Amino acid sequence: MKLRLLVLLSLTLFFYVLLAPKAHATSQQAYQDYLYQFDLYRQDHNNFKVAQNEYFKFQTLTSQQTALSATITMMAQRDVLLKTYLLLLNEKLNESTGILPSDRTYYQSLIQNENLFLTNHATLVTSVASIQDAMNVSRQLEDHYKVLQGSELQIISGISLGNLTGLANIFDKNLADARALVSINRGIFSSAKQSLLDRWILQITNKRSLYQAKIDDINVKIAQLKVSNSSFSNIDPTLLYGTIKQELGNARQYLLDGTSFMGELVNELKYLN
Amino acid sequence: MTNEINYTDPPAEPPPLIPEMPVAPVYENKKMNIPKPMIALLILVVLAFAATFLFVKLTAKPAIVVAPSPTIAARPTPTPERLLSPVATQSALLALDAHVASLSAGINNFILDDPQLTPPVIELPLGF
Repeated sequence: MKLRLLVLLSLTLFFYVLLAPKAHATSQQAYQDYLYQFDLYRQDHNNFKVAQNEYFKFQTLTSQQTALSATITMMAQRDVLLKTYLLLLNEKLNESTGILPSDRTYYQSLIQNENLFLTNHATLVTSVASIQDAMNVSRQLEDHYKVLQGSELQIISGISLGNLTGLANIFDKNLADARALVSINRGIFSSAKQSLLDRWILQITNKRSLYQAKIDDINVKIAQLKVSNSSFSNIDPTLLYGTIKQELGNARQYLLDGTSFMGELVNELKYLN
Repeated sequence: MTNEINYTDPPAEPPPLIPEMPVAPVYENKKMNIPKPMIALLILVVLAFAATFLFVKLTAKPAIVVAPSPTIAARPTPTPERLLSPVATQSALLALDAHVASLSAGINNFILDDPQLTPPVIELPLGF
């Protein structure tokens, strides 16, 4: 029995202590890779602009070839950058503790779809032979970019919401413990003190309800972000994302207020009067 | 023998010109004719003002002199002594206290807008 308990504790230590920092290190490594690819993209973009300007100025065959080569390099690096960013989102998604499994699966499918598009696009870039070809291939990414952007913003919103939900889960556990403490020790306190404790519980519950109402609003808006992917949609995903961020801030404040009230309740439980 | 003026002989010299002496203007001595009722009225007005002044002066209340009162030192309200409850030392309450503090720190440190997640800004149209 003791041996089983020891094995169980060791496994728990392994999963919650050894793996958690590694997951965090993975997202940090992904972030460093993303920053590196972004630097490369900026350099390639600058070179592309210089070559393009020279081609516009001189209109020679040499300048055209140089411009085409710089364009192909920039377009390839652009795809690599976007793929590296999607990898970063994937790592952050894995780290977020409060996301529902169904939502996580959905966001990961979005990442896979976009990765597939970018892989196909990168293949097309390698076959570009002229500036006109480059424009045609680039136009494919331009046409698809709204969908890509909508997917990115959905995932970012989902990650933030998941992180906040993780905190709310801890809040709910603490509230259940506080309720149990108040209920078990009901006979110790005077009726006036007991009613004070009950009022604190009510206030905390109210804040939790307000938080939940805000989360429901946020989920509706994230669903609207899904619709904004459509080419027929008039919804501006960046504006909608701004609203979602604001609502997340309000939800966080409700959770903070409820936690503050919980601290007051704990303080009151320490004294008879 | 009468003194006869000999009109045929011209005078030897013209008579000297004597400037005229300025004559001081003469003013008429006018007397001020104030009617007697007016004088009586003026005297009455003056007497009325004097009477009013004396009445106000004599009927004025004396100034209130406030005797200085001794200052009372403020006594702070004594803080009621709070008695510890048996729950205060229970491990469940201590654990809850620690969890609430940890949660509060977690919510305060919650990053609403993670800068690492900001999408990259890229230029899309080639511009050819």
